[in-house]
Amino acid sequence: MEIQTIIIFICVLASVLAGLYIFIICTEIAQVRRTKVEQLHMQTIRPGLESILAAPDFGYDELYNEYVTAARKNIKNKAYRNMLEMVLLEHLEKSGEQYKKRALCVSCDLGFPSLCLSQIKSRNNRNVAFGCRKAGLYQHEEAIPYMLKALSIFSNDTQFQILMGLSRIGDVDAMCGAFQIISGYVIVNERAAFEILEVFSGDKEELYKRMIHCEEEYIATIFIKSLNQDIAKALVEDIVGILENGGKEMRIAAIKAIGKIGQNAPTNYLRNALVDDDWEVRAIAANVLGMQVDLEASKTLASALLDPEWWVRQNAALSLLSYPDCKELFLSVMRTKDAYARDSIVYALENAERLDMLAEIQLMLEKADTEKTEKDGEGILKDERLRQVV
Amino acid sequence: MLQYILYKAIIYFDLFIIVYVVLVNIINMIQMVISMAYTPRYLRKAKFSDIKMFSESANMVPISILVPAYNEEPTIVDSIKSLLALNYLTYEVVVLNDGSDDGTLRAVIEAFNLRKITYPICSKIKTQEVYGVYYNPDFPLLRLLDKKNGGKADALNAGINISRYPYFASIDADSLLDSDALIRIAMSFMEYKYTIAVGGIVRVANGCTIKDGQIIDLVLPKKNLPRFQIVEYFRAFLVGRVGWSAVNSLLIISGAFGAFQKNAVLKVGGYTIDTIGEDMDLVLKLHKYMRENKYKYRISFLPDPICWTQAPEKVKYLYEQRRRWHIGLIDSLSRNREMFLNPRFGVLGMLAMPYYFFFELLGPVVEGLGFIIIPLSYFSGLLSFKYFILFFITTTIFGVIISVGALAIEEYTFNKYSKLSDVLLLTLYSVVENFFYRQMTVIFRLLGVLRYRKFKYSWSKMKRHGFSQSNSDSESSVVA
Repeated sequence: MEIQTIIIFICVLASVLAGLYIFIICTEIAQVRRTKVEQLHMQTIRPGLESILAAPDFGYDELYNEYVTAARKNIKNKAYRNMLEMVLLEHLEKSGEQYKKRALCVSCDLGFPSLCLSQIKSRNNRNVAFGCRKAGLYQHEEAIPYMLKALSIFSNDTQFQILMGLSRIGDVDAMCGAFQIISGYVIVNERAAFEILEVFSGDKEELYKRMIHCEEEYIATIFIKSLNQDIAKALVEDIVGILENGGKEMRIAAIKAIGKIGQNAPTNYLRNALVDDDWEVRAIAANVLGMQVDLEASKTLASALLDPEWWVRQNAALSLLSYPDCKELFLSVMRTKDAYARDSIVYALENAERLDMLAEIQLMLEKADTEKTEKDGEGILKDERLRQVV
Repeated sequence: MLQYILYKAIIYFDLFIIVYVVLVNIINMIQMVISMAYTPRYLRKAKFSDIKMFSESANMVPISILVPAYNEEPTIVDSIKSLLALNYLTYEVVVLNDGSDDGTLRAVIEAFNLRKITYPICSKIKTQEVYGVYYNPDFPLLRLLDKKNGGKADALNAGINISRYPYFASIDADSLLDSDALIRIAMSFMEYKYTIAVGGIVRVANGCTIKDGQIIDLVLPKKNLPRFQIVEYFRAFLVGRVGWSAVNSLLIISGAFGAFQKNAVLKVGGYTIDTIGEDMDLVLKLHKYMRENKYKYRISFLPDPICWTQAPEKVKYLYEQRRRWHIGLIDSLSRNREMFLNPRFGVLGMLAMPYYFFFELLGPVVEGLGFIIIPLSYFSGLLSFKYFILFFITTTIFGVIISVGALAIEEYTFNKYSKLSDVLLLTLYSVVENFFYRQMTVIFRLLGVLRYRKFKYSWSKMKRHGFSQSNSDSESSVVA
């Protein structure tokens, strides 16, 4: 290779390096400047906005108009606008109802919701996700068709933010439509879906009624698992139907849903689930029977202590603690000499700080053992006497 | 004739070295460009993903934090305190005392007033004997497991057995987590259900002021060795790992901080116990299992869930650490060699594995030979002075560009070192490291290759001191 070529190559590398150095220095300087500007804006934005949000009703309109007029002048400044929007979004996400309502009014009057539409239409996935999050917080219904369209983007955070946004807007049809679109490629984790459904601001009962029978089992399971007490009570018949006919995941979800119902829960179905073929179903049923005490289930629960699956034994032991006859049941199981069942019982009693009961059971077992040994001893004696006789 | 063959061999080796160096640096530069595009975008996203809302949500994925501890008496209590103060709702901390022969067990029991309980363990993975489980209802998030010594991997396997939650994070006992680290890592599992493993960034905590298990003042350490390592960690994490993660071919999740889906780990039989590179081996096993079974999955690296660790301040400890890392690399690659250049494994088999083999594993061998043969060919007149100097300048500038690039990414995105003087000092170290530090680590890694058989199963013991002393720049030093 020619030396000149190498030198040119080195020069290119050196200029890249110089560029990086300049970039670092500029970044540092820009960072310091940005921080200063942000601090300056924050000094006026946060107190100003919070004084409006916390203002008493009397004289609120005047204060509000004054604030919005001043803010309109300043939002031409990009840094100011971004800071103000950030503070507004913060309030929309975390503050109480009154603050939210007022923050939403300020946002609408300053035209922030319409700005997020252009973000949703953007080609950049991150912008779309951010726009959807904003649309949700602003409860901007006009954004719904664009958000549904954006669901075709196969990106985890975009899907998550779109569903979250739709949930915050609270339109049942839009939400059902969204799950219909992503049916088959739901990429968010079920716990993320719970979070999404938890913030749903519309008619939850209607949404759940429609979605727990969704053809896509994963989606239906998510909805069943995320049912709260009131909706579970209202949809009890649907849940029981699922417990009888659904797949494994759906049955597990249905058992959990029954567990949330409280009084008058159809616990007879849980008893049947304790002898299900799938151990996961049995384990969950054992767990739920601890929350929904069903006196008739105590013996079935005690037999679950001898289940071949670890989690079933463990859950059954913990659940039995809620039953009045648990001491007798524990004692009878401990007499079987099953070491795994015994460990589960000891763990449950220690964990619940019921050491007195544990000591009592152990004492009774020891007593029984001594009696047995004495009896056996007598037997041996008898044998010896017999032998002597012989 | 012999002279002629030697002459030709040296010439070809010189050419090979040039191609080798240029190739490895080009790959690193591509990774740097990927990272420059990815990291700011990730950070922008992280800013608006509802982290604060999720930190208070009961819907977050529940995570068991496993903390294997072997002779960690000076740091273990601080570490546990930092873990108990995490900004997360549903998690548990399981400390795994791996038969320590110092006062680790006693220190934890006394600090948290724990008592032995009967705890039936679901032994999904076979481990060494468990002596007992300790618990105190006043610290419901904490459990301590005491077991017979079996190594870090065995301790982690015992932790998997005892853990209650479907996800677990493994953390070194001498490390600290940022209060938001767990939530950031959990978001990865939340947003994409096929995520099976996530690694976080490891940063150097030497010289920082720590209060209640949290870094409250981040300053550069006073000693040179940790400063070099700061630059090196930036390069490794912000350039290397981000680059490989972008093509779902991340081969290593640092043992210091990584989170996994428990079911996937159980499917591959947990951590391999007879290796000291158990972290890399697990990731490779996961890749292999998922790709062989054609499951959809993702193993990713996130540049912002931060784990702070104490870097070695003495050459002796740095040598032991690098030797161990390199032996772990050799062991993991040889155990999973069927993926090497195997098109069935896609980018992983055709690019990541060969890269790790040729440039990471053989790198110190080639560079070590280069240190000898290139000056030799210059002194024997086979290489002209001009070429010799130009080659030296080219390799140095390449090295500096990668280091400064990593630093630029850090400054543009996270900007943890906010003082201009700190940044300038780090840029200086990213130049100087090419003249001393890098050669030193090459030798350490080379010794790892040469002593592979001897130290294959050996975890070197290192002297540690508590985190509260780390800002005093004490003599003693660290790390696992």
